[in-house]
Amino acid sequence: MSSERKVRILLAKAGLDTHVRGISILMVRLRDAGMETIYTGLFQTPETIVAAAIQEDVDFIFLSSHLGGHITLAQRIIELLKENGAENIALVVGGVIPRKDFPTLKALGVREAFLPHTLPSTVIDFVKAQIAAPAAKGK
Amino acid sequence: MEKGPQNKSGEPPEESRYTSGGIPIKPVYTPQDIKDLDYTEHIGNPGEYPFTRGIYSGARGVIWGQRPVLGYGLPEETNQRIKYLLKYGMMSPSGMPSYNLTMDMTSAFGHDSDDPRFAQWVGVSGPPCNSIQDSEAILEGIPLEGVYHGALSYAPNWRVAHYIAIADNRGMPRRKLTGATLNDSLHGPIGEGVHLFPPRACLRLIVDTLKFVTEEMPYFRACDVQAYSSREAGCTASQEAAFAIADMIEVVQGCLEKGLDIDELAPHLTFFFACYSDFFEEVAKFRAARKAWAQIMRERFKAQKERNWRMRIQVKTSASTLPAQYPLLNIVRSGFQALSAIFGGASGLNITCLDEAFSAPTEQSARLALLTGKVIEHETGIGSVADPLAGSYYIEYLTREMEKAIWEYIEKIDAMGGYIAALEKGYLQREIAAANVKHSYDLDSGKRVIVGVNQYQPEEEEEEPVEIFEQDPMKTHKIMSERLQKLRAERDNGRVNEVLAEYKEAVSGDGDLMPIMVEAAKAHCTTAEIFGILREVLGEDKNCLIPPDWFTRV
Repeated sequence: MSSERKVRILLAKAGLDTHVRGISILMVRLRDAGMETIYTGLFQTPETIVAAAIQEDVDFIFLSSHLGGHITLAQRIIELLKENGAENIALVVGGVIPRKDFPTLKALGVREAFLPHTLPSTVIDFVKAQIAAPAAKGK
Repeated sequence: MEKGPQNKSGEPPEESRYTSGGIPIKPVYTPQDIKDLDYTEHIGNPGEYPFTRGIYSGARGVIWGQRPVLGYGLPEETNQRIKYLLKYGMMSPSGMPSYNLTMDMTSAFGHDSDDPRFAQWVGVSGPPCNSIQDSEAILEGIPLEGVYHGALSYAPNWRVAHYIAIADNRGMPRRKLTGATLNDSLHGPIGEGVHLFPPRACLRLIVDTLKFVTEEMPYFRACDVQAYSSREAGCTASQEAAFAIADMIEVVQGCLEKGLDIDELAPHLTFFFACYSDFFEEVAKFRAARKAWAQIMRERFKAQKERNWRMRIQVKTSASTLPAQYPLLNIVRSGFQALSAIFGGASGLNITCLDEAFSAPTEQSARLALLTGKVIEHETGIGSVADPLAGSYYIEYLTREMEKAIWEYIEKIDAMGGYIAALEKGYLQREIAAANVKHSYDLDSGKRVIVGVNQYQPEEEEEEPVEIFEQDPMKTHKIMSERLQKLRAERDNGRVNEVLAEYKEAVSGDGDLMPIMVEAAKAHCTTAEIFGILREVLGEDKNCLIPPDWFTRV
């Protein structure tokens, strides 16, 4: 085990959304890029997602959403992170997210949002840039 | 962004040396490549065994139906959308007015619309389906007889129970109901679809519906294997066909063990495939799948009637190949995919809407997709002759290669003990995951190009506008909750409890379920009441696509 701690990412699905192709690819690609991934399984709630994120001591929650409801979910997850003193965990949202929702998501405190068909390399580069610039974290 | 390989030396670029599913291909094909193929044995005439060239002979081979999957919002909103699209020629392969009705995820997962935990999905990806009232509202002004009802529901077929109950209530003989349901929950665990119960329990529910329709509803297709959902989850073309066939083998075996006759069962079975962008590979997939299935029905299951060896294929063009970048370009993509499906001999065609990456389709995008099919049908002339690509050195070669790939999977799955065993071992999920990851690397490296995604990306401000279909699930949730409250207050709750007790007893034993579900529909039982019993007795299964051994936590 190297002394440097690996980035830890929780991949989460909430509610009744079963579209997991995106995160199944990211699970492998993030791991191949030297990061640790943890998958919540389906049908989670903001409460179970935040509890898992804290317990697993992750740096990021990647919320995958393909059936709408991403704004409500993101808002609740961020509330819960604050309530639990875990603002250091960054929330990232991806899936069927219309670009017009990006400003709302960012205003809620979502670190980044990704459109459908985002290349895995783009996501990996984003995480690497976030680690390289720790000042940006938790601001 | 990394660019794709350039064609500097006149050599074909590397990505064109393999089909998207990885079958090696050459720049040119000649008679040498198909010298081992015997026309009668390996190809055959359209409408004749082994049905490589399609299931209809002569002119019938050029008819295809168009039944878009549709539904959103309140039942009455879906009713309006059905009536609107019927004006533009939605029809079944036999030319009957037709539609393909979805339901929202809240109903599909067996919950009522007033359950606060699932409020935000009410009416989003289909209309709610709480009780027979909702199905009656969907059918308002649409005749029950003479329409091919695509009442898409998973096992158990609660929506179908509503339709049967409505027929009974109106005094229409059940045998006059024409249409189709999905009744496949075994593809949910390897796709992005719906399944709720452990695989063996799903199989029991699937067989239950098939037993009912073989006895009472001769013109109702009642097992449509959802190959579409596994393909959209990342299968290759050969995996899509092979896994679908393996699933159907499991279903047929389950039915035979229940005492059904193969020749009575076969007319109720259909396959629901996707169609992707690798044009000739898709054509080859449909031809090869039909041939493999014909062989299985004839040799393995010993169906006696030749018409029961036919694989009926319904196609929906791919949604996941339609990116948000340059949405109007998606009309072109879907158009090519539709051509490919027709050249492949699809019986039914559902063209996906251009706004798939944004939202449920608007009325305009749904009409545009339907009319795209009409342009192909009436203006291109490609439907005038059955299987016009037959005899092409390349197509026949590729069909043969595809067939080999399909059989290789079927034999592997057979050796594992069948589809459910392969599913429980995680084998199918791992194969799909491997294909997905490879594809993602190919996109990142530019080995594969998707215009707008990994090459020719738009500048943000240049993006073409597309109207986004706005929905208000909380409003739908509120209206449906009021209706449910009223329903529960007004119905005969003594009768409800009686039917539910009978249902629970049947589920706990090995009784037939569909006849009781029909009575439950008549008694105005709700979705959560029926599914609650199933969940309690059968247990739940939450596996979906991701190999079980990849879970760090559940």
